[in-house]
Parts: sequence; C-alpha cells; structure tokens
Amino acid sequence: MSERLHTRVDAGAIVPGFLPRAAVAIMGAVAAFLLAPAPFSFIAAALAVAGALFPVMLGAWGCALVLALAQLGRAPDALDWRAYAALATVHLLPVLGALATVVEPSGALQLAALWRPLRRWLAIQVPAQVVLAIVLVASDVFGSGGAGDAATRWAGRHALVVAPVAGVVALVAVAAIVAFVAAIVRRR
Amino acid sequence: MTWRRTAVPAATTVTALVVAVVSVVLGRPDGAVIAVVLLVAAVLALRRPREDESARVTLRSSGLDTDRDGSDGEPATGRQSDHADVDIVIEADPDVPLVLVRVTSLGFETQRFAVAPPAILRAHVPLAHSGEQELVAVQVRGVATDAAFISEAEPRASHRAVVEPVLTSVASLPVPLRLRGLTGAHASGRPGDGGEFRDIHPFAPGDRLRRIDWKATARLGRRPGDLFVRRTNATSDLDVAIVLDDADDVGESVADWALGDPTISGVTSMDVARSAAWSLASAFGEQGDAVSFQVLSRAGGAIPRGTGGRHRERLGAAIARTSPHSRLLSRARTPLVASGAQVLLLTTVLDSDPVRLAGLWRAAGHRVLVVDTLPVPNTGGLDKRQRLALRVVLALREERMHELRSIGADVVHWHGDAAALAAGLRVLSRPRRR
Repeated sequence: MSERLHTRVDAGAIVPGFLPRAAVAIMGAVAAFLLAPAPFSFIAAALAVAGALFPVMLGAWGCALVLALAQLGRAPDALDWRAYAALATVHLLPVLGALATVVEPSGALQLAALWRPLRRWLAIQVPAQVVLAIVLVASDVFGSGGAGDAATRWAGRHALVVAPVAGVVALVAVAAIVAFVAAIVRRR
Repeated sequence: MTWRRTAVPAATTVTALVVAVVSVVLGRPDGAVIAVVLLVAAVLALRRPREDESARVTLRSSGLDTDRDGSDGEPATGRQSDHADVDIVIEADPDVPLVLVRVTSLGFETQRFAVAPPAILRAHVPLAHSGEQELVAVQVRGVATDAAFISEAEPRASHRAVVEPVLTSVASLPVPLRLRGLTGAHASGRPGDGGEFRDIHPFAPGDRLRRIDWKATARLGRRPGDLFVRRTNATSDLDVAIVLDDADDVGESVADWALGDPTISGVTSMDVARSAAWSLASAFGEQGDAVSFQVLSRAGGAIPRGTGGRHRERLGAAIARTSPHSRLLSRARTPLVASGAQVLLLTTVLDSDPVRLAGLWRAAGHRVLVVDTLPVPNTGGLDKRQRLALRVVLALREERMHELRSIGADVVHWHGDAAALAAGLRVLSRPRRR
C-alpha cells in the first residue's frame, strides 16, 4: 500500500482538541482531592473524569456542584485559601466543560479561541474574589460576637470598608437581575 | 443560520440554584457568592444570537499555479506539482466567539478545528493526481458565548481545481502504413515532393525539368533523347483518433482498488491515461497532424479532429478534465473515427470491451495502438485471497493482451520504465513491410 498523503492545515498557534477535556479531568480531580473531604473528593473526581470522557453527561457541572457543597461543609474563614480556590474552580469547570462539549477531541483548538472565555472568566472572577474576601471577613466578625451590638460596633469601626462592599454586592445583584431580564426581553 | 440551545445554560443555572438554596438554608454568604457567580455566567450566556448572525467561509487558491482562482465558480487550473495552497478565510459576527471548522481534503481526509474568528487557515494539499478534483471542502458551525448556542452547519464550501497531466516527451511516433494526407511531416508511400529519395524513373509528361538527373541520364541513357528524373516520396499528414477508456480508475496500490482513496492510491490509471493522451496529442500536434479526442463512456466532451495551437489548447483542457465514468456494457458505443485514421486506445484492458472495439477498428483498416494505462501494481497490504484474486485478474488481462496482438493491434505499456516505453515506441515507429 502506498504511503498516505496528508493535507497540512496551518491554523496558527493551536492546541490539541482534547485539551478542554483534559483540563476538566485534571482540574476537577486535583480540586476534588484538595478542596473536598472523602468520600466527596472521590465522587467529584469521578464526575470530572466522566465529564472529560463524555462531556454531554455534564460531569463538569456535577463536579463543580460537589466542590461548592464541600465548601459549605467547612467553617467560613477569610484566611482559608480553599474558599477562594473553590470559587475559582467552581466557575472555571463549567467554562471548560462547555468548551469540551463543542470541540472535537480529535481536532485542534486555536489558542486564540481560549482568550474570550478566559477574559470573561477573569472579568467575573476578579470582583467576585474581592466580594468573597469581604463576605468571609464579615462572617468572621459577625459570627464571633453573636449579637447585633457587636456587629454594629464592628461596622461602625470599619465603615469605610463595609460601605463599598455592600455597594459592590448590591451592584452585582442588580446587574445580574437586569441582565436576566434583558435576556428574557430580547428572546421575546 | 438556525441556532439551537445546548444544555450548558440550564446546567449552570441548576448548579447555581442548588448552591444558592443550600447556602440560604445553612446561612452561608460565601456559598451565596459562588451561586451568584454561576448565575451571572449563566445569564451572560443566555443571549441567543440572531438568525442572521452567522459564520462565513471563503476559499481562495494562493499557491496553485493558476489561470483562474476559482472564485468565479469555475475550477482553478494548475500544473501537477507537489502541493497546492488554499486559504480558508473564516469570518463571523461579533457575537460568535468560536467557529467549528471541518476541512475535508481530496474528498477523504477530514480535519477539525475550533477557531476564533476572524481567522485564516492555509491548507497545503498534495497534488498527487491530475484532472479535475475537489482540493478542499469546508463546513463551519458557529458557537455562541460559553457554548450556550450552536448553529446548524453552514452549506459546504468547496474549492475545485483542474490539474494538468504530466507531459512526457515522445521522440518516436508510430504512423499507419498508408497515409492519405496531401502534405505533412510524415513520409508517404506515393511519389511527390518533400519526402525522401524514391527512385530514378524515365522522364514522363508532367515531370518538371529541374527533376532531371543528368548523371543518371548519362549513365542509363541508351538512345538520344532518353531522360531520367529523380523521384521523391511525398509527405503526408495523419489523422489520429485518441480514445480514452474512462471506465476504471485504479491506482498502483492494489489494496486501495476497492476504496478509491486518492491519498493512498499512488499513481492511478486515469493519471497515466491523461498523461499518455496529452503527451501523444502534443507530439502528433507538433507535427501538424489532425488529432481528435473522445472518451469511451459517453459522447460528451469529444474534440473533433483539428490542428494548430488553439486546437492543442482545447485538447489539453478536455484531457485534463477527463474523469472516470462507469460504462454500461449494453450502451457501449463504437466511437467514430476518420477514415484511415490511426486509433490510439488508452485503456487498462481490465474488461473485454476495448478488445472488441479494437477488433472493429482493425477490421475497418485502421492501425490501432493500444496504450496500456494500468500502473505497475503494488501488492503490499494484500492478504492471500486478494493476491489470488489479483493473479486471476492479471491473467485474464494478459489473455486480452494476446488477443489484441493477434488481431494486429500494437500494445505499449506507458507506466513504469521510461526507457522501455521509448524503445517500444521506436520499434513501432519503424516502417514495416506490407
């Protein structure tokens, strides 16, 4: 049999098409063992691997859900890095899972195609991490006093911090509601 | 473009709602932050692209030695070389951040890409075969933000090209025994002007005075008044009918005969036939002979006999565009050829129809030269049963070759040893006894 002739397609900087799937599996498994206690870590890891092998099973979302619930199983602590890692991972897994559902594993993914999802992820993550830090600090403070007076005193002492944080939280909530309503209106 | 919603927004929303509910029940604001982040991501992805928002693909030839670039709907033309470059230009509306591209080259090899528009992909397609072929076919699908919506596949865009066959220099051309033309490049059997020495003949009314050979007259003259003239042969042109058997297109690789994959077939019989037809047509055309061309499967595409540069261009275009067509035995027709024409039948002799046609032409007095276009078989990858089947096929073919020789047709093998081909043509071009 003659040697097969191949057509070479130059698409610029590319990565293998299985990269989103591999990222779901690796990131989900690593995060599962770092952020969730057993046996939830095994469940999350299994969901991540299943989501990588069969993206239409939506295993990435299942893994993200388990990681988020595992975060709720721990006491809130502003100095615990796992809370921030959980927020980042729980958001990143659906982004990668969505890519894995459409990109053929045997194909190639242009590196530039990763930029827009990454930019969107960063745009949401940066303020979200700040809000999470503030919320965790607030939880520490409110949780230790156990009384309204302590909260009032704390808020009075840190008014310069509390006011902007409350504003940001309110802004995010309003933006989410407005975007949701706008999307529904556009669809109609 | 029709957009279809995927399960992504629903999955993200459900995840967010579950986390939100559990966070509220447990009184955990950090969980609420996670839920809000997921919800925002889901809401941002909910926007359905408009129906007119689409991904577009444009193909243009960049590396093919072209007369046309194929943008006017007509295939580009080029010469058989190593590669052809085709630029695949992907464009899309701003709300389409990702385009899935499916590139099929030469009808067989498929590659898939996910690209960020606008993007230009360059395909380097190997040009292993001559003739009209689809170099690249591309299908695209748009993907909306976070893969929340995916479009139906756009209509397939393809780029076709006509690759000219390889031209082989033919030094010796076989000619028929009797030439009927009045002038041309070939030596004729009848007396006239322009050819080689024929004989010394007594002067007869009508002979020109300048043809008198005075030395021969002095030597041979017996009586006063005896004159002898030096006679020459006339020259003649030739009618050549090239008939291409386009029923089969089998490659060097016998294992690929059932597949027809051009990327592994090696040189195919149609490549050989096109190259032989174009080389012979050019060689005869350069000598001023009238050349016609037709295919065996159908009457369409036939080029009537003619001479000159424009006719040569027409022949080249017709030969380059020849593609394999099935030939129904019940409808096989006998191509009409000019009286006294030399018939060049280019065939693989894998069935007996060419033998029958050669017999008919021989019976009508034509000289028939059968050009064997079957490439030298490569038996790699065949199992025992396939080898046995090949032996049977080749034995039957050899039997037909014997039959062709027995009815007076000449046979040359075009593919393989170039020196053997040149020697075979040289032998056939020698004048033979009648």
